[in-house]
Amino acid sequence: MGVYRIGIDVGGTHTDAVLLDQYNQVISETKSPTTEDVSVGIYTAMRKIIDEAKVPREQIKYAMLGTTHCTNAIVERKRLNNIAIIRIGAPATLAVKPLIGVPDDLRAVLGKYVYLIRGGHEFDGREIVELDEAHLYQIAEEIKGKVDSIAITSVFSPVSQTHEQRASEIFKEVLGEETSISLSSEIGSVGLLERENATILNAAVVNVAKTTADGFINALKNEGIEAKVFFCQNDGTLMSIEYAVKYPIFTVACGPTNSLRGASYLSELTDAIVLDVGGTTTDIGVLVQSFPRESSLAVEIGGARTNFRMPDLISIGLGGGTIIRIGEKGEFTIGPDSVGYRLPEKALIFGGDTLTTTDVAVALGKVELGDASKVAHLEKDLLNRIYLNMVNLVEEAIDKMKTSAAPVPVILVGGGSILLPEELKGASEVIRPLHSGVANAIGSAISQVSGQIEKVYALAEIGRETALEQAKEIAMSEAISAGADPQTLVIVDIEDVPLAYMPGNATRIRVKAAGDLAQAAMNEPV
Amino acid sequence: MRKLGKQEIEDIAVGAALLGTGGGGDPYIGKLMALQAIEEYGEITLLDVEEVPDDALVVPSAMMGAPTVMLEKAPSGEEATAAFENLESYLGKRFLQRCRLKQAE
Repeated sequence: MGVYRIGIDVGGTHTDAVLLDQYNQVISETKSPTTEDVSVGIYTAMRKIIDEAKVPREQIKYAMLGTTHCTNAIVERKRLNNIAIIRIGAPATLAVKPLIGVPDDLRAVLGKYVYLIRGGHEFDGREIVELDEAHLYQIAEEIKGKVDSIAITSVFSPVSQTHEQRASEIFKEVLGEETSISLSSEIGSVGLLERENATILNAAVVNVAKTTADGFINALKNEGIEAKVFFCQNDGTLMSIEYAVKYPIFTVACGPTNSLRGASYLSELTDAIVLDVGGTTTDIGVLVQSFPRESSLAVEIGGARTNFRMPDLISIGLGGGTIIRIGEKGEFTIGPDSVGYRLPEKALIFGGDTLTTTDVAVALGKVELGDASKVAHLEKDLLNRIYLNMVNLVEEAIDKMKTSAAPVPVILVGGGSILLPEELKGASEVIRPLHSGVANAIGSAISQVSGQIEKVYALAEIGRETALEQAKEIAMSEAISAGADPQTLVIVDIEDVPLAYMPGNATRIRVKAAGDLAQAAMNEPV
Repeated sequence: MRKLGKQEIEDIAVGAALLGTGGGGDPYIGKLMALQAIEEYGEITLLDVEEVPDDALVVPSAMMGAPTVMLEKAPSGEEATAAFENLESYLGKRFLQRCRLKQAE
């Protein structure tokens, strides 16, 4: 009996879906427009791939969803929760209040209920001052009925979580279980402002995540599919729906991660530069051993600085719908604006009124699409210069991402990649894998299964090396019991925080292991 | 005399990072402290040397310690003012102008 899985990637413009068999072969694929009500777009895409694949519905055992909903909500400042921001740390930290340095429009939306209260810890776990519980009760009464999500950040909570946890208990006691609470110690590591921003953003997108999850589950139900449902995370691993609804911020960069992972899988290359050409932008990332190279800089989400690990990407304003403007003297500009998803009505070759990059490629015979006679009147010399400039933009971006002058393989994915030529400066070869239009949905479907452990070890007794080894083993066996293939397991994350306030050289160790979904697990009835 | 606003602070932070060549860590927290101070008390007055009386007492302040700790336990803003107040009372002399991070009483 075959076992199948569905991978879906919901982007700002398109919802892509693929159906894979247990050997990760693509059985069917589709691209459909993303809709206002997310579940409609997912439903349409899913129905198409299922109808085309003609596989028995009960054999579809897994469904993976990668979505940019949370990112878009933050960037557009829409559909965000009504949140309260609690920082525990006064009298310290008052010189840098929450949301300072965050763009004004985001502050206006998120900064309505901001409180700094007494408490928090020193680097060694001693209390700065006692937690001001009376103040917490007073705040809880004040925000009752006004907020539905709370972000709590305490100074040095990666070392001691006690004040955050107590604050959470108080809010739950007064406001009930339905108010969602985000604790910074569960979201980020040392670095107060970045961790606090991440926690605030997490609290702000809880509803969006919930709506998206419900939409996905309903779409599956309507199709009569009972699959195990997962969300894709930034690091290319999966998380359960329950976890995703609690920590939606971990999904914000899964789009680029999925497209890089998908490109690696399709091209069978482990080290390369990947260009994902969409309708509006081209994202350029780097694959190192099949995973995205991570950014070493603080990453901003919607203008707020966070300390997440994110793929190192550059984005240029060049896609299939990028608008070309030609002046009277033959001077021209390329973008950065785009007709985006309206390409099929706006572009000249489709009978529209806007000159786009796609029109240029068609007029020059690089691409066969639409009605080429609609662009035949354009002057070839000028178009050649425009095309050369487009390619230059891409080549410069490739050069920026390279760490040495040696040419590297370049993988092209995404719908807009038809625009680009067979040769690019700096590339040892240009590869266009089969199914490259839905690379991100494939990346979503092949996401890895992970196992995680967080435990306090007394290093005085067993030593750091032994403790790390033990933690790694536990994380790996967790991953295996979650369905990972032992052959492909790797440790993807290690963090240890010394707890100087505890005896015996105590250290909290956090390890995450990840591997591919095992064949055996896929063949077992779920 | 001229006024320093938010944009000037952004520029000074970039310049400070270059001149500091990495010493003292990222000027990010210091920049945010200055931005918050401007939001709460208005633009900063910058005096020309010519405008400072010859007998004026001018005292700069700085902070020392591990940047890693400051990244987590950000300053309260009282540190410098407390030092200034103590020094003034010890010297029995007023500073030309005291930088106030606290609201004037």
